[in-house]
Amino acid sequence: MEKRYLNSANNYDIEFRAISTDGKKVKIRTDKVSYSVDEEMSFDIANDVLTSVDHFTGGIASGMISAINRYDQKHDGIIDQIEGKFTFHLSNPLTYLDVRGYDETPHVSALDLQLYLVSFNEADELEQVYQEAMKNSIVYQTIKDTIKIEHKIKVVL
Amino acid sequence: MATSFSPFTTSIIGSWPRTKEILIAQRKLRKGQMEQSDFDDLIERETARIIKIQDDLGLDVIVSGELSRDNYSSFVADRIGGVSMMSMDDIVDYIDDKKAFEDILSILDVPAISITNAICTGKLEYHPIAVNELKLLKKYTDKPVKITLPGPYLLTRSMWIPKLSKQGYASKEELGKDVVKILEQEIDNLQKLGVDIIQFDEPVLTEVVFTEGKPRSFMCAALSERKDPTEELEFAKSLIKPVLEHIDRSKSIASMQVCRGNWSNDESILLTGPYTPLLDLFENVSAEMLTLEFSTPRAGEISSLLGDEKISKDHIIGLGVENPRLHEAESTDFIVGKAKEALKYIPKERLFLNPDCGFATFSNRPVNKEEFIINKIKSLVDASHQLQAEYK
Repeated sequence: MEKRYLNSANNYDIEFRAISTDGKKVKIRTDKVSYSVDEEMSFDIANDVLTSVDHFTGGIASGMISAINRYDQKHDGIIDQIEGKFTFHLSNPLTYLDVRGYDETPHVSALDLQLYLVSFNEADELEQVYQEAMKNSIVYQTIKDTIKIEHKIKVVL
Repeated sequence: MATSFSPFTTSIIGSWPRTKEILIAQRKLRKGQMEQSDFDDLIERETARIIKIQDDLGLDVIVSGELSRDNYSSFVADRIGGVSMMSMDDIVDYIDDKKAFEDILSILDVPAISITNAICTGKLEYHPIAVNELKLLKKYTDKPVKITLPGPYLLTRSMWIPKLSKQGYASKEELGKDVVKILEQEIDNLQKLGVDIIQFDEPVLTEVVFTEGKPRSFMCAALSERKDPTEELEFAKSLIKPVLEHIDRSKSIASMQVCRGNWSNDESILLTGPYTPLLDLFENVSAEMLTLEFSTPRAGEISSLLGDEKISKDHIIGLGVENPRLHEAESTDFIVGKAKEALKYIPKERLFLNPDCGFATFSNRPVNKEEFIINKIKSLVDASHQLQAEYK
């Protein structure tokens, strides 16, 4: 069962179980829900089942957008709607696929983010909101030193 | 009594770029942060300004600029009951080819949340659609005026998403019947006030014939349950004809405008092809005037359309002689040259001049700017005067 608790003033732990009994699927069981993840990564364009990498990158995307919402709502509330186009770059995919001659570590190396912010405010003010929001984003702060993140902001009326 | 028009009558198609103030006001109104009366005051002020620009520059037929509309078609969600405004983000779940949709968003560099469509979600109920625009036109100009409306095929096809629309109608054919009735009521109200040209926009027709079974969802919402082009065109005819026939020709010209999409400044991704596959439809929908694009090579040769006797003998042609997406104004020589090509097939009395399409079909993605549009109108008017002098 998942446990979430503060174990000191500086730490909060998140625990859950991940179980695999068939050598393929992994079931994630929390105290409220459980869900199954089939594989770490799929290169099959017809695949319609979420993989670990889908969850991981989707978590980054939703985490960053949620952080912007959270910061904006606590401050001036100048953003109406947010849409981001996230492009994650996966380095060395052939290693993951066990292709002979490739042995560099496969990993998500970079993120290009086009952020569309629906707002009456100017781009420089929105950039400020983004920067401040990211300072307090758990997801962003966790990945920023391992994934190169570049972003552009476009204001939409 | 219908207005008589001079040879080489000039007008723009319909839409004009909105100011930032209007774009902000549109959003505030939608969010309930602005009073309708304040919004209406702003629209009236700006419409009056745009009417004056057209008047001063010497255009023969004046349009409102469609300033209160969020786009050329989806604005009906604010005017017709049983229709809901939905963003493409809401609609994309119902679209088969999501990748094609994503590709278009990427090309345009726009978010899905910024593209809106009017979707049928119940029984349609008539409320005036463009009557207020006409009232403003009549208030601020004595010149002939044109009202633009989304055509019945465009409305029916773009509003129909089975999972949502079946709350109101069993089929898109049933929906189409009520769309026709709604537009007929609108025509009656417009003609009561007095309107010189009623123009129905039907850009989806080119999507049907030029996209080889892969219509771009962006232009026409879902185009769900689409049949093959022949059946689609028959369906289109069955909707367009009764609407155009309903226009009392003693009072107004019944025009149909057909372009190949006006959503990007990148000409290479817009549709290409002559109007030939639409000739049968053009001949059989009772349009008195066909307003068509001819300024770019994408449109094919003028002869491919006007070489058809039924078209050249029976119709006024609103000849597209300017690319609305180009900032640079076309030269008068270019426009005169295009007109002279058309004059090989039709008499001067039935040749009107206009840009290919609107300047701001989508309010938040105008394809041109006012400063450049003014120069384009000057060229258009100069060319018309030159032609009138030459063909007295």
